[in-house]
Formats: sequence, C-alpha cells, structure tokens
Amino acid sequence: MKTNLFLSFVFICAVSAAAQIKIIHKEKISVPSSEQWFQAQYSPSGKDIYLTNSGYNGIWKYSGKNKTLTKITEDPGSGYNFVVSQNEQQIAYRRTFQEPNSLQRSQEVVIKNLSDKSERIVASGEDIQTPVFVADNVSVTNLRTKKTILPSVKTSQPVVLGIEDQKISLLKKGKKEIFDPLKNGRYIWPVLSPDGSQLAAVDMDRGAFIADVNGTNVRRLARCNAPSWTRSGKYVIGMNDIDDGHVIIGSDIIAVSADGKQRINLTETENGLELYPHCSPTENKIVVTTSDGEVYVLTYEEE
Amino acid sequence: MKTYRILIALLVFSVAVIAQPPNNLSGLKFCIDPGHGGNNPANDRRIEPDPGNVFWESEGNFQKALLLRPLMQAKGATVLLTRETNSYPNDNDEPSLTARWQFANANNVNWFHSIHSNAGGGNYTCVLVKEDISTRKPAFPAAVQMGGLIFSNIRSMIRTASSSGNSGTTGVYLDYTFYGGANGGYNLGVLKGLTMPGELSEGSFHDVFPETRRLLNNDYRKMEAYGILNGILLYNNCPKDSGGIIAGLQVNAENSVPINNTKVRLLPENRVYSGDLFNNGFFMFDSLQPGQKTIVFETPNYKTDSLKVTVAYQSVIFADRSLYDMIPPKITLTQPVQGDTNFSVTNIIGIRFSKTMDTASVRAALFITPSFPYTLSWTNTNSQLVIRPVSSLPVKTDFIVTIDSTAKGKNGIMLDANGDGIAGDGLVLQFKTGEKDAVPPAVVTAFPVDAAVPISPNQIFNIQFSERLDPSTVSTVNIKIETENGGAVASQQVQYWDGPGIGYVNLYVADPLESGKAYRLSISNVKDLSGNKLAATVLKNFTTASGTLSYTVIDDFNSSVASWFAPAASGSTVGINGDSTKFTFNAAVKVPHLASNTGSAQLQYGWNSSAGSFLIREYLNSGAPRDVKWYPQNTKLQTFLLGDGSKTRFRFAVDDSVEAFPAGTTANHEVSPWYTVDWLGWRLIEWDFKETGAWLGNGIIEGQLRFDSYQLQYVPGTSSLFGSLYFDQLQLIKQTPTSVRIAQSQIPTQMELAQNYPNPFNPATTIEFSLTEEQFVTVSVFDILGREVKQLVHETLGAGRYKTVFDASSLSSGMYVYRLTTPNYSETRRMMLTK
Repeated sequence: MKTNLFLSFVFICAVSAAAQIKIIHKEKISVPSSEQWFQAQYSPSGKDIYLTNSGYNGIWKYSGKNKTLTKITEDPGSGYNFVVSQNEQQIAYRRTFQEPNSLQRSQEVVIKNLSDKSERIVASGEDIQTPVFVADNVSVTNLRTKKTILPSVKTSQPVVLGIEDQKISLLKKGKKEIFDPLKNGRYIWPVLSPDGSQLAAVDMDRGAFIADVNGTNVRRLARCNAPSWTRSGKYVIGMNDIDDGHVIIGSDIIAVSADGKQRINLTETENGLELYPHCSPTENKIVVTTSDGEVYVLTYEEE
Repeated sequence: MKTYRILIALLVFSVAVIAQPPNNLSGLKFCIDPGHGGNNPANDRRIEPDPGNVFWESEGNFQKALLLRPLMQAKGATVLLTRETNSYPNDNDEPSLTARWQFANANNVNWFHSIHSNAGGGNYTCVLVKEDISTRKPAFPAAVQMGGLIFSNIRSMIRTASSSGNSGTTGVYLDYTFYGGANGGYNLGVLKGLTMPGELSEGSFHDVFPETRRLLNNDYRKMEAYGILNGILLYNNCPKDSGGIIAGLQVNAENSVPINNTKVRLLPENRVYSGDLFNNGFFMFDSLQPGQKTIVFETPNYKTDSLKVTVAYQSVIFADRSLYDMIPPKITLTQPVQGDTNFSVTNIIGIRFSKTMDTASVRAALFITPSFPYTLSWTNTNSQLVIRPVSSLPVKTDFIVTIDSTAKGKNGIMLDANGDGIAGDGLVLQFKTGEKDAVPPAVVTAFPVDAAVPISPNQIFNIQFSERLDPSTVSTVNIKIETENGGAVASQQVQYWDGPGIGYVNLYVADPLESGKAYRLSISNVKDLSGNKLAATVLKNFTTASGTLSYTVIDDFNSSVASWFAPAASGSTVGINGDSTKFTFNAAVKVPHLASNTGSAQLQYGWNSSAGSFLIREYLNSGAPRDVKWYPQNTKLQTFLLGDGSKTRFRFAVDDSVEAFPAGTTANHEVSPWYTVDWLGWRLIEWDFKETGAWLGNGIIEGQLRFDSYQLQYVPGTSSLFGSLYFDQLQLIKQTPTSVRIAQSQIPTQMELAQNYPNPFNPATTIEFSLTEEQFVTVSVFDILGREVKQLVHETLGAGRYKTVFDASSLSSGMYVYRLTTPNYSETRRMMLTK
C-alpha cells in the first residue's frame, strides 16, 4: 500500500487554481500481465470493470467486490464495443470469423447470459454492426442492408446505435435517425451525456466536439479522443494522444467542460501513456489502460 | 424469442454465398489510410529536392489514396479514407493513429491499408503487419498473404531505388520484430487496435532525390496506387486491372539529367502527356487497350524520337528514353593550347567537346598535318578525344590539327568550334613541338614497397613512371620481383597503362609471395617513347609480413552484383549526377593473375558539382557476402581497385559490434581513412582497422565486424566530375602470427633470446625470446654459411615473452644459427637439426 500511495502522489498532477476537476487518487488494478489489457469499461452499476486485450479477442470481468478476474469469452473480435445490459444479467458482443485466404468474413452477434453462461446468436452476416442494449433488449443493424432491428420498447432518452456510413446513428423516440451535426462529418466515438441531452464525438478531420442532441450548439474541443462523460455530465473525459505518424509517443487524460470552454490536463505522467478513459456511471472514478497494458482507476474530485 | 427469430431471419446471410470466390471487389469495404497528415516538419517528412519544389510524405500518401479510391470503386469496392484533406491549420485536428483504426473499426470494414514511404527512414520497400507480441506471430495471418502481394506489385510498378529488404523474405515484416523486438520494438500505432486484417506499406524511397522528384508527380503516385490495387485484386482471386500502362523517364542523353516540360504523344490514340517542372522526366499513359502503339517524344528543344511497343492485356511497359538537345557542340579545351611552341614530343593530344559526339563524323573530319601514326580513343561519354602518337613526335615541327565543320554531335548538330552558338565552323589547332626528349624515364612511385613496411604476400605492384613508356620495353625481363639476393620468383606478369604524359606498370605474381621473407623489386632497361632508357637499375627492397595466411572472400565479383544496392539506393548517397551513377558487373575487366577470375564490379560515377556535399555509399545489402563476419585482430580488409587517376577519394565502411546489434545501427558505421585514387591500373587497397576515418560511428573499432560499403567522395577543385572505378575480390586476409605471446604476470626486465627446445631437433623446434618494451623484432634462421633460410618473426611486438616455432622439414641436417634483432639489441644462438 505504501508503494501505491507513493505512486499516487507522483501521479496526481498539479492543476491550475481555476480547475474544477482533479485527480486525487490513482490505483493500479491487479490483473495478470499475461495479457495486454485494453479499453477497460465500467459495468452499468459501476461495481465491476470489463476488459479486453489488444487484439479484442475476448472479454474479462474484474469484480470490484472480490478483486478477481473471470473470463467471459475468448471469441475473436468480441472485445470491440461489447455491451452489458442495465440489469447486468447479459452481455452482447459481435464475433468475427475471417475466411482463410480471402477478404470474406462472417460475423455473429451473440447474447451471453452471465449467470448460466448460455449464449444465443441473434444476428449473423458479413457486415453486422456491434449491438447495443435498449432497455435490456438488443438492437443490431445490418450495415449492408441498413436495416436495424429495434425493440418495441421506447426509451425516453436517445440511444447511440453506432456508426452508419460514417455518420452517427441515433435511436430517438423509437426511431432511427442519422445524426450529422458538423455537416458532411465523418464520426467516431459518439457518446451521449448521462441525461441524453448532449453528444460528444470526434470528427476525423475536425477533431472532437460536443453538440446538443438536436444538432445545434456545436462546441469544438480540439483533440479529445475516446470521450466519456463524467456521471455529473459537467465534463467530457478523453485522451490527448500524440504520435509521430508511426507510434503513440505520449498520451494524457484530459477533461473538457461541457460548454467547451475549459480544458484541464488530469494527468501529466512522464513514463506512462494513459489511454481510453471510461467514467464510472455511479462514482467519481475513471478506469484507464496504459500503453503497457496495465489498468488503473483514477479517483477524481469535481467541484 | 419470436423477436429473435425474426431478427435472425432478416440478418442471416447464406454461408454458401460467402464460400463463393468473388470475381471483383463488390460488397467489400476498405479503409485506406494516407499515412501522416498536415505539414508539420517533425512528423510529416518535408524534403526539398530542388529550391521551391517541396515534397511532403503526408501529401504524397494522401494523393496516392485519392488516386487509389476511384480505382477500387471501379471494381465495386466501398472505400473510406481516414483523411479527406491534408490541410490541418490546427495540428490537433489531424486524426491520431488511434482515431484511424477506430474509424476502420467503427465502419466495420473488411480490410485496412495504410500508405507510407521510406520505411524507418531507410530504404526498404516493405509491408508491415501487426505482430502478436506474446506469441511473436502475425495477429492476422491473412494480412501477411495480402501484404506479400501488395509488396511485389508496388515494387513492379514504381521501380523504386529502395531495397527489396532482407533476402529470403516476401517483403512482409512483423512490426514488433521489425522495430527491434525485445530491444524497444513496438506495434505500429495505426495497426494496434484493428479488428480486421490490415497492413502498412512503405513503398517509395523518398529520401533519394530522383525518387523524391518523381513523387511530386501525381501519375507516378498513381503507379503505386495501381500496385496496391493489383495486390488486393490478386488476393481476392480477381485478375489484375486490365488496362495497359506505358510509363517512362526522359533524360538528357548527355548528362542523364531528367528533362522538364516534356511532351510525349501516344499513337494511334493521339493522347498527349505534358511533363511537369519537378525535374523527374516522368510520363505515363494508363487504361490502354491492347495493340501496337507508337510513342513519339516531342519535347521542345530536343531531337524528336519515337518508339513502337505492343501493349497487351494487363501489361505494363516501361519506355525510358534518352533525348539529345539541339545545342551545337563546342570545343571547351585542347591539349596543346592554341599556338603552343614547345609541346612535348612524347605527349598526347586531347580535344574536349561540350557534348557527346558522333565519333564517326569526328574521325572523318579529322586531319593532321604533317601526318604521323596515332591511335584515337574517346573518354567521358564520347565527349573527349585522345590522339595518342604511336611514337615520339618529330622535334621542332609545326603541326595543324583540323576538325572540319562536318563533325557532328550525337544530336546531329554540326560543330560550333568558335562557340558563337551557330553551328558550322571547324577547329584549326596549330602548335609546334619542342626539343628532342633527352631525359630518361624515372620511377616516381612504387606501390606498395615505398611504404617500407612488410607488405601482404598477395600484394600486386603498381609503378608510376615520369613519362609514357615504350610498351615494347615493359616486360618481366625488365620489371620483376626477385628474392633479396637476386633469385628468381616464378609466374610474374606485367601490364602497361598509358596515361596523359605518364605511364604506369602493374606487376603481378601468380602465387602469393612467401610470408616473412625479404624480396626486391627490380626495374631496368625500360625506355620512353624517344628511346631514352632508364638511367640505372632501380632496386626496391621489401619484406613480406610474417605469419600463416588465410583468406575469406566476401565477394569475388565473378558473376553479378545482385547483393549490392544501386548507388542512389542508399540514403547516405548525396551529390551525384542524376541517374548516371551505376554499379554493375563487368566481365571484360578483371585482375589478370587471380585464378578463375571472370569479372569485376564497375562503379561509374558522375557528380553534380552544384551540390553542397558529395558521397557515394555503395552498399552491400544482402546475400551470402553480407553474412561474412569477423574480428579485426590480425586481419585486413582487402579489395583490388582499378584507378582512373581522377583523384576521387575512396574508403571502406564496416558495421562494428555486430554481435550486439545484428540488424546494424547508424552508430555502428565505422570507416577507414580516405585513399585518393590518383593512379592508373590496379592496386590492392588494404585496411588493417588500426586507423579510422570520421563518419557516423565513434571512430573506434569494437567487437565483431561486417562489411557495409565502398564509399567515394568528390573533392571540389581536385577530383574529376566523371569517371569509372573497378573493384575485384573483396576479401579478408588473416595473418596468424608465428610468434605467440606467453602469458606472464610481469614484464621482462631484460632482453633475451633463449636456447631452442628440443635441441637437437627433427623437424621442428621452439624458440622463446623476451622483450622489455614494444619494438620492431626480427628472428631469422641462417645456415652455417650465413645464408638466411627462414625469417620467423618480422613485426612490431609489445613487451613480454614470446615463442615461435621453426619447422625445418625442407632443410637438411646440420648446424643452424638463429638471431634476434631489434633496433638496440642483437643476440645469436646455435641449434642442431638431426634427420
């Protein structure tokens, strides 16, 4: 513990007096080094952390209560954009089978019951979008036919269905809507604020932005990759990764206020590259992975 | 459950359909990533090959992607680009590496390809794929197969000067291993997070200016786009793009400089290609129907030329052309100068033209009054005429050399001897010879024996005389190696090299001389062209180095130079004249006395005098020659070098610490001192690694060595701008000393020659001796009449105790004497051979 406290002290960066969010603690999650851990994310309750590896070949669950790691699946490609249901009884993911000596592939969307480990294939084809949960029902889009299977239940808040023809696909009031707030945008990493009123994303040639979910009030954020909203909705947490065209040479976690006016470096670590922040929906915590495949939880204080 | 059944029914695609090989790219999505982005000099690779012409790798990659997209779309593919611009006023708006693979993932493409050039700042055309670091295997094996096809198709289209990478590979490398593996390797950031197969191609070699200039041309970039397209098509079991392509380079025939503002017409289509102003001379016609075509080179101010070719289905034809400009040739220099009244009767006459000449027309237009027997030869790409009198010219005689106006340049334009820009006037060169040549020829230098140090036993001899010699007097009777007492040495051969006012003789000995023995070079009775004889016999004593010799050939240049880069392919090569510098195998020129010698390597060079720095790095890249590694102790690196008298500088380069850095690093490049090539004929150039020159390394030879390169340098104001050197038999010679140091903790306090043991002996005995300080030592054995029968030690040794073995197998029984000699000490002992 002494070591961790020391590390935490080194890690906590100095922020300006005007800063209204800062990291107050850093803790390394004890997971085996046999995998390069990648893109950790909190469960809907914030109690557990789900992980994949750098090849996206598998999903693991780290129990916040027991501090143990459990493999959910090792299906190829399953770790990319998997989703856990609100009741945390199911996990949905896409797996991909590359045909040997061919450009062809087949994809399947699987729902796995986390209690009895049973699984169901709910969609298959050559070009299937990763699934999303809509009130614990799966929605999935065939990107070739553009057809989306929508559950009959309607949610009060919009849901990001994914990227379709480089644009953001939203589910609003039970209907699919293509969202293009920057006009001729080409988007990645769309994520809705906790109250569903705002959306943060990254445009390939114009950087990160926040827009109201009706497409107005666009605020440009410059580089803020892999954005994730704090549970308060006051900040978007992202990564400011720098590269030389071949390899990432630096990355820190940043916070940008929802109005886009305040940009705060949350980390300034010299020897570590913090990547892919994901905010807990229930606590002031951010889970990040590093370029070395380690996992850390950052506790922040928001004033 | 009902919902899911409906869902499955709507989404399931037939497995049977998937299994059918497609005949095009329909239904497939690709993400093409133009590597880098924007105009940040730190990351986006800015190069300015000529003032005002700026190349950015970011822009080159982007244009290639823009050109590739419609080609792929025409095959039915859906193509997404990670960048739709190369203009990023705010550098942070450029998509990061993480954003690029995220873009591919988010759009669920089938395949990802990132376009780059200049692998690792170097010269590998290659394709890199993601490596699973834990297993050290490809993360996506399919990417290796696709990468190999893309690699070979890119190389076939862009004719890059870059290397094909290490031998034995398909041009595809695993990224983590390529960038150093456990010694700092990493996954490429743009491949790291892909959910689908992908690769990164490093196509062109943009650090080499001819290629940098071509890369400013969008049609040249399109050639790489075709290469990538064809690799993808072949992997998908589709035929290559069907349209024929004709492409080529146009250069000035006389200096190989690419031509600007070219105009090329293709018939019968009557398509016209207008070249750019980027000094590349490139042209290209694509999407051609099969059939016979005529390419007409109509570039203004150049002689029109044409070429017929037949375009076949899917064919790519490269049609380079050297064009002659329409400027009339002038006279730029004569020897003697106009009106000379004291021209040496043994000298040669030289006339230099401003352009390459039609040699037949010059020969027909040449008249000399009064006439004398001579031979004609041409140098400097047929722009310099040498009139070589067969014998000495008559004294005090007026001569007129005339080349009338019918002499033409290679461009067909008549001579403009007075240089007024108007063709049609001839040369009238008047001069008068001086007094009779009464001065005998003299030996100026005798390489390598002038150095007065023991020479390698396989040396050859290169003797410079003060004037041209009568070749009939150059023989092994007059010029020869003898034992120190005048005894004969078998199997010698001489070769005469006639220079401008001077002569060189090579003397070869078929078998290496005996090591550790005294010899002499004897020169007598040679005559100059006036019949003057060498004043007196010249004797040059020398000794050969002692020790047991062994040779390791690195490259004998007996069949090809396939293991070597083209000179321009090294990123270190600078200041050369366009594409005219070449390294080729030559079967006609070779060192004559080597057994089974079938050729040499010719390095033709031309320098761009306006460049700021000059270096040719003729790099040994791959194959068995590069596998030779050695330690420097008692070893010399040797090569035979045929000098052209150009005063070009030459040196060796090696990699050191190879055991620690098997892939080589910049910091491990060490070089020999420079050798100025101021001679004609062959010399054996050696480097014993004791002295070093300054280049990229620290100047200290460390650890195991491997050959890197021959290097040449132009010295402004001193060296010739053009020339040609030949290399033969690159090898190592290792001399195992006959004296071995005996391990002792203390330095001897007195000099000593110990009694041999055993004694009497048959046939070998050991002799020990002690030295109190470093000095030059000789240990010799003499018979009872005082004749030296064997030199055992003849070298500089440090303080310590040594032993050497005397093998008397070839000697008869009797008493022998052995002597230790240093500058300040001598001691003699006796021993008895009993057979």
